[in-house]
Amino acid sequence: MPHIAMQVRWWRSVTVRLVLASTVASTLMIGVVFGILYWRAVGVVEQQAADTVASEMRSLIEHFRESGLVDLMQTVRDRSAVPAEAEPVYLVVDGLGNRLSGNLLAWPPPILPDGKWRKVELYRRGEANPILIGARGYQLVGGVRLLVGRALEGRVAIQDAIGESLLWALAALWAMAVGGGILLSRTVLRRVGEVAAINREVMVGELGRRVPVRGSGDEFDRLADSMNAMLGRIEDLMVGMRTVTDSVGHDIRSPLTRLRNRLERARLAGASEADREAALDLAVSDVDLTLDLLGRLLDIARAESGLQRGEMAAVDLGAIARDVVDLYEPIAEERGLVIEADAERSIATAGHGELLAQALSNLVDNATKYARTRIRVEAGADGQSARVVVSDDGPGIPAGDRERATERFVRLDPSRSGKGAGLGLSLVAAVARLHGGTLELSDAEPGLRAELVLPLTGGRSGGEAIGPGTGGSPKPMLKPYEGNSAA
Amino acid sequence: MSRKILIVEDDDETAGYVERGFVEQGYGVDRSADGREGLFLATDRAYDAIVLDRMLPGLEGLAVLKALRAAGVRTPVLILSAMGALDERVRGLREGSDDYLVKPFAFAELHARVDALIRRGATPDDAAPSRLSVADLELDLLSRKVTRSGRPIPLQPREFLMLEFLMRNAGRVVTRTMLLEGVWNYHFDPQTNVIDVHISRLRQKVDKDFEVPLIHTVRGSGYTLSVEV
Repeated sequence: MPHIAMQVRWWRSVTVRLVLASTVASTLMIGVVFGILYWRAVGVVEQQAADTVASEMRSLIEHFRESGLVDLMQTVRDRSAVPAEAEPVYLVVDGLGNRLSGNLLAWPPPILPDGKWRKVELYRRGEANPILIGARGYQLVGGVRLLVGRALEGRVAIQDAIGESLLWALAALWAMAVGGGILLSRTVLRRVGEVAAINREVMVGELGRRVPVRGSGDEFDRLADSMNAMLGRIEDLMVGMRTVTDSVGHDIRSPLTRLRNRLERARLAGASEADREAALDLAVSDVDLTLDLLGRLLDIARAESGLQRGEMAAVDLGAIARDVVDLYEPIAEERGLVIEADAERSIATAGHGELLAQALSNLVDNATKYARTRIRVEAGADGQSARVVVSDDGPGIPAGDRERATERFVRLDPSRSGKGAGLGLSLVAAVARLHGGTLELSDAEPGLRAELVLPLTGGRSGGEAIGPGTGGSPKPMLKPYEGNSAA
Repeated sequence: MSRKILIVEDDDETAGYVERGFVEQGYGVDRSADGREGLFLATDRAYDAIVLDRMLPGLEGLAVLKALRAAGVRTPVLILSAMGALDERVRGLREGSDDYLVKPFAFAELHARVDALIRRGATPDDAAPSRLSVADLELDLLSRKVTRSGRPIPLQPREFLMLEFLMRNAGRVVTRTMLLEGVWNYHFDPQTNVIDVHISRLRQKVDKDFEVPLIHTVRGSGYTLSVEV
């Protein structure tokens, strides 16, 4: 038995790889989602600041128009002094750019006095890092300019909040991945383990074991189904093999024993020349019989193993039936039987032509042995299946024995000491199974009716009845021995 | 001129049996128990036919055959093998063998087949005749008519094919299995000897009303069509 790795190394396990891949994918996705969120949030915050600044600007301009420059300077000074969370920025300069009022030292050049929202980086006194300011500038009368702005520090708060949420989300994701992975791999490993265990049992000889099917129709059920089908096939083959060995043991050994005894007697001192001669003749025919038996057993075993399925080709069941009838017609006549054939012109199906011909010839051969006056061979097809029926008017097979009749080595009529080894019908049944069809035995009232049913694959054309002796189709045939000239 | 045959077979008993049989029939026989040596002999010397086993030491039978055909050696080859499944037979024929006989076999069968192969190999391919004739029996392949001493003999299509087969192998033994393969293209053995009845029917038509019988039974082998017994 080959060595089986019982424990799957965790880093090689499919589950771990799946969980890893899905975790990486989810992490990337969460990153993208948070990025978009951040970008949108920052946009909203900035928009708010821009709107606030615009309305403050409007009210200051109004104030200037109503109360004049000095009052504006005073108001700006007041507002600049109030420490506000939003860090407002104000500046009023005269025509020469001198600061009149506000909390900026000088007018930042990027801000133009046109009322538009602009951003600029400014340094707080004594600080090394710039802060981002959003501001609007406005030209008042007499060269006086007004600047109103807001520090966009809200961005930082959003950054922090979103960064923190991101960490939490990732932590939750990874925790779920690990937990789910463990759970998943437990379930998967258990079911894989079940299958492996069943396989091992089958390998040590418990051929009847099957993988349990949960009925949920999931992937494992599908696997179990095909696994069970395979195990069933293996069991069939093994049983078939055992039957063959048993049969060979029984039916080959007995003629060989007979042969041995005969030769033993011929070797005795008292045996005459004539006795020896006779013993030799019998020995040769014994051996021929045994070889014949062995050949037939192998034919059946091959058909049953399904190994010849690769040779299936398009065949015409009607032509096969006509050829077989043609082969048996003279011998039927010699035995005083009428053989009738009623075969459709063309019954296209897929099959092993040679085996079908052999099966059919076994059926007709049987019929010539048992029929009283007539044999009838019909071949036809309907929508789903093609069928060949061979019926005779002989004694038939009692209903209770029909099942047994297709088993190997069963000769139902013990009084008949014919040369048949009781393998004929079992070959037909094996050939039928090989083609996915059946062999059905029934009563022809009187006689036996054997019906070979095969699944159909092709179309068919009109019927044609052929009588005895009309010969077969004059199709070209392989003639391996023909020479090219006559003597 | 004595015909020469090469037997490539690793089982000493079988090879000896086949060799004795052919020597008794007046053939010259070479034997080889090894595939490689067999291939060497087959390419080196001129044989009329080669009997080739399949499971051989040195080089497998089909490989020998393939190498032979690749080297342009057209000597007729009969494969003699225990591998009897139809697909094995088809493989053998596909690789270039001219006939395939499954073990166990009777020497008469092997002899008849090898004889037929040698005869076929001796006639040029392009001489396809339209008529066959043996003594006063004539068979027209085109009109599919048969006459004996000028009198027409009506035959069923299958009977015509059988007679054609016998006439193409006139003077040589044709076994029952050769007839089954050649006329019906069946490679299995029907349980009842149906061929005998077909032959006796053919005999009725071809020989009954004539003084000299042409179809003869060869005991233990099969049939032959010839003027002399």
